[in-house]
Amino acid sequence: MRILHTADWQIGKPFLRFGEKAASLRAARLDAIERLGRLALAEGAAHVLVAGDIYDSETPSNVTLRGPLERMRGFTSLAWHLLPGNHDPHRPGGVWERLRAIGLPPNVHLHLTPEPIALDALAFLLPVPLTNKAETRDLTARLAETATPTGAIRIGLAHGAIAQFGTSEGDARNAIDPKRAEQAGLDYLALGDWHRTQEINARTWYAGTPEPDRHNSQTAGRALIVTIPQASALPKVEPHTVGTYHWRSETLALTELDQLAAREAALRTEAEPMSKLVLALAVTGALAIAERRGLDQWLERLQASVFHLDAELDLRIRPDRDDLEAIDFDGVLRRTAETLKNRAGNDALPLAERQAAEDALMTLYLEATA
Amino acid sequence: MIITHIAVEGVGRFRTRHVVNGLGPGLNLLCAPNEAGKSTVFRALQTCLFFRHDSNTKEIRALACLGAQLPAVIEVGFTCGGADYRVQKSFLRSTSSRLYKSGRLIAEGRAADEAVWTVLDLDPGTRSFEDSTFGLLWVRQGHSFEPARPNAETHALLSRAIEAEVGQVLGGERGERVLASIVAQLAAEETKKGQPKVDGEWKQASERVEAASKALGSIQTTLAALEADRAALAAKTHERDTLADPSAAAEMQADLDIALHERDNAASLDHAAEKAETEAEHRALVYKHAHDKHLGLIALDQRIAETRARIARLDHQAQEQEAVLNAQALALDGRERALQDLAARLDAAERDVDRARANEAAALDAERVAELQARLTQARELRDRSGHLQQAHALTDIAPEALRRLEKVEQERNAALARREAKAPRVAIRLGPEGAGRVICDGEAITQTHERAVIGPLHVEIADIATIEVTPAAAPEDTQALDKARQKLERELRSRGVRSLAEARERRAKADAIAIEQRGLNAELAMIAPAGNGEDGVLVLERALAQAQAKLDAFAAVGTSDTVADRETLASRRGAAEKARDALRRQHHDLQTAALAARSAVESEKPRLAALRAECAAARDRLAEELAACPDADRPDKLVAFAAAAAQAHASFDQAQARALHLRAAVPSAEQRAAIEARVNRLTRAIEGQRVRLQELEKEIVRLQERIASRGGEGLGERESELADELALAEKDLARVERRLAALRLLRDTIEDCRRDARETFLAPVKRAMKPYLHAVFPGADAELDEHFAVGGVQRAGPELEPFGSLSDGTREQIAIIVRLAFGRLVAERGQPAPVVLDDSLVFSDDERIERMFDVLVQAAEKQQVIVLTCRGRAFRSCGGRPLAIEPDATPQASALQTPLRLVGIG
Repeated sequence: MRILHTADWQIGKPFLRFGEKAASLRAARLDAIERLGRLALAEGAAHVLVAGDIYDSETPSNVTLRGPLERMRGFTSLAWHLLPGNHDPHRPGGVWERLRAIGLPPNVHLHLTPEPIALDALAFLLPVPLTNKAETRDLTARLAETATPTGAIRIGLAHGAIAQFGTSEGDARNAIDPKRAEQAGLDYLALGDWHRTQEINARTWYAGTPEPDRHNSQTAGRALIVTIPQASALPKVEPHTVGTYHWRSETLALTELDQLAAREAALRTEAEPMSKLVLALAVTGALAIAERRGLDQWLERLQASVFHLDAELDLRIRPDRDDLEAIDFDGVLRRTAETLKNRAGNDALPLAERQAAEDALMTLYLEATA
Repeated sequence: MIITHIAVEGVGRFRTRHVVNGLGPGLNLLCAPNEAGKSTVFRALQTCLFFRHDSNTKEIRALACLGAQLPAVIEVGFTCGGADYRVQKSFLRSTSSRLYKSGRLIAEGRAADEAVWTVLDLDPGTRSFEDSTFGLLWVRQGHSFEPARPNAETHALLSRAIEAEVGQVLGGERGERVLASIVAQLAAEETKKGQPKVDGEWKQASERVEAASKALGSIQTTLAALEADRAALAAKTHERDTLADPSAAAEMQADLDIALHERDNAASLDHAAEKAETEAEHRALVYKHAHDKHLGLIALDQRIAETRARIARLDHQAQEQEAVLNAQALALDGRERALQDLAARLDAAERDVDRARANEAAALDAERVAELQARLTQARELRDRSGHLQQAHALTDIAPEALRRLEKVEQERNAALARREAKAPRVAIRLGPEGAGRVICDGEAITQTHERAVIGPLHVEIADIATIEVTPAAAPEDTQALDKARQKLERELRSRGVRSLAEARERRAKADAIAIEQRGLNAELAMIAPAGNGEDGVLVLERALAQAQAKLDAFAAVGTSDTVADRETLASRRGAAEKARDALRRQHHDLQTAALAARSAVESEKPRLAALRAECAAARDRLAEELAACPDADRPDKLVAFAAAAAQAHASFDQAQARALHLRAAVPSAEQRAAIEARVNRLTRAIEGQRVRLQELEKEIVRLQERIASRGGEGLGERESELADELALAEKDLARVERRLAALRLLRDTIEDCRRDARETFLAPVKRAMKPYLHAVFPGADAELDEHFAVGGVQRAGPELEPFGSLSDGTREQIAIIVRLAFGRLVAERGQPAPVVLDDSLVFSDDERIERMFDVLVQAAEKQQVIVLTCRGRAFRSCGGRPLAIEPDATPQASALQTPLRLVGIG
């Protein structure tokens, strides 16, 4: 038995903070479905299990609603199994009833009730759909009482957060016992909710999102090819990269500008192609004003190289003698610069006031040297 | 720079070359009368140094000689940087420009113009005298009292001079530019009150946040409504499923059937109990009837015995009462007879009284007839007399209106006469001792002095001596008016039948007297014969007399009148008859009272006897009835039978009552039956309510499903996510803008703080340069300057600052010159001395101040060249300095411009 395990497509996420690039990110999420289909075909997986959060919201527009269906429709030899998650729970009048109302392709199956479904003669899918956003019970508990024919492969499909796992990722309200697979006699428990690929135990995996949407989660989108030789046998789980964009978070503690060149070289090596890199760069440290201008120029070039750069500068301005003389050798401007410098370095002042002094000093420098 | 000479030709009033020679360092004084050409020389100096030679401006055209087609030729000699320079320029015609250094031509044409500026250290492009330092130090006629206002370039020059001494204090041009840029950036973003400015980035960012927040709130409200609909749909679906559960419905129906059965059973038991209770009540009635019947018979037996005893007692009382009644009847009969006798006697006495009264009344009537006859006679006489007076009054009387009319017409006549007399000549005749009666005036002898107005011809005869005729002058209007008034008076008198107004008044008086007399007669007549009900009094009197006579005649016709006796006798007789009658009346009354008492006693005893007899008869009747109903012979047996029947009925009642109680005990209590009824009602309503509720729920579910489906297709969730992102972006942008503005504000405030601190340091050299001059004129005073070198005011006697504009013209002029001198000194001390030129200044200064100002000028001249042009030779006599004059110049230099010279380089 071979299946493709994926989750958390979250179709319809707007990505507005990316401005005009938002459309590319939205399109990439839909394109990921086709890549998943091609991967399943290539790996010989007849079933694609989507462990919840197919949609980003409960009330997508009709066009958004139809988007994934039209991508899946073309893969007629694949069976797509969709499960409601916490972003798109099955509720009266909700997204799933709308889907049924508009008509599903024959290869798309909705699992809106916890009824076991035979995937083939020897394998059963045991879905656990969410019916609200924040379920306080562990709905997978019922899997232990869900009977399947003796000798059949039991595959659980659920959406939620593994409880007591020592991590805050995902939504802890839809808790799932980490030992559920063992307790319920599951050969494999396909989970969704966490956006990074995560093995909980040999039979329990989070597939992660096929196209990331945030930093500090998963750099590239992935899906799992799961092979289950027979009932009770350990599954073989193989992660595959399917995402288009790479989401990296970098930190840069600057003491001098020379560091920039080395960091840039490393980045170009690790994150190729740069044009698909969504980079969050946190810059800390302290620079002279003239150096700060150099950093700005470097950031401009970096921004032009990557798909998107989100630079968070927590830099202190440390004007040196050259900076101050560039402002003026004497007179009011020089005194102003000295005053602002002292103010920026006065730790007794609140951070906001020190920051304002640094900004003012920077502005003074730019105005005086313009 | 030291100016050494100035020459002009074809300029203003100077057709030929004139020159001011002898200019040198220190104080130079050019005193010349008005229109001597001082200001022309001053303007020529400016033009030569600061205007291009080929310019044709209004100022240059103003320099031309009137009526002469001459070029305006100006030459200025000066030393600068240790070298001697001479610049010659020809304007308007045959234009040219040449610059000589140490006698050698170093530039010509436009190059010479610009070379001059280079030598004078004027910035390239400075083409105006006003823009240069000289504009500050050279004061034109009439401008000396204006405060010095350095322009940007002069300000920069002064700043450079100061900063060369105290260092760069204010930041120079860069400081100004940075502050201006910061202020401009802030001004583009915020109002003076610190609010976001329309079209500013701050305002736009704020509005974007507000708009996104509002839109997000709106869509979240819609989503909350959708969420509420979903919750309602889930709740109603659950409720519908619960209500539609068939087992629950069957259970409720079974409960209702049980309750209905319990209710029917209770009703049946209640009916049986009610029937037994009705039977018991019937038996009770039967028993009561038998018992009452027995008790009635016992009572009848007792009543029969009592009636018999009562009849015997009443018979005895009736016999006693009859005896008493007989005795009283005898006594009454005797009194009745005595009363009849006395009544006959009283009738006779009454008739005697009547006769006496009739006689007395007849006598009174006769007296009345006589009195009425006398009054009637008198009344008729009075009426006749009143009629006569009425006629006399009618003949005599003149109406008051007519009299007033006459008086008015006579007054008009008198007024006309008076006017005529007033205009007429007056004749006075004064008689001599022998003249009495010998003078006849209009036929009337004059016996004493006589004076009159002559309104017509007057004839005066003096014995036979002479006749004098006096004819007044004609006055036709007055005469005509007088005649008209006289005629009118005569017409009025004729119409009233009198001859004069006096007669009219007399007739009016007489008529009044007749009227008074007539009113007296009428009053007397009214007393004698008063009128009644509008009827004449005489007629009333006549009718009363006729009535009295008729009454008297009637009494006489009866024939009972006693005409013999008089009224007193008749009255005496009537009194005696009345007295006798009254005595009989009293006796009759007493006897009648006694008879009535006796009769009353008899009558009162009769009813008592009748009542006894009636009561006795009634008792006998009742006894007869009771005996008829139950004779004495039957009663003992009946008493025994009735007692037995009552006992039997009582036993039957007890039995029925016990059965009814037994059945009633088996019936459920009222509370139990009410509970059963309530349960039936509740279950019935619940089943019906459930049915109705199910119908409602189906409708509501359909409605909610439709609404949710409709909203679901709107993409609300996506829109919410978009708006949340939009809001986050807008907030981030706003934070960025606000952070930038905070930096700009801090920078602006810090720069301004530093500028304030630096200003005092910066201005110190200016104040130091100004101080000796200021104290020379205003001891101990201090001038307030701002960083733009503008004079704000002066502090003299006290701490109060006197604003510059509030000072007198003289003081303002003196301070303005002092400030300019200080600026010149400051520049001179930095190695860039520039002459100070004052054209016709200090015109507002008094003698004392002008002396002090001379001291200041001399002081200033120690550091720089000072040139004073004035027409006040006497006032400036004590000024000192180098005396100058404008003189014709016949030296060969006059034609120097036409001499071709060799050019050499500057410096």
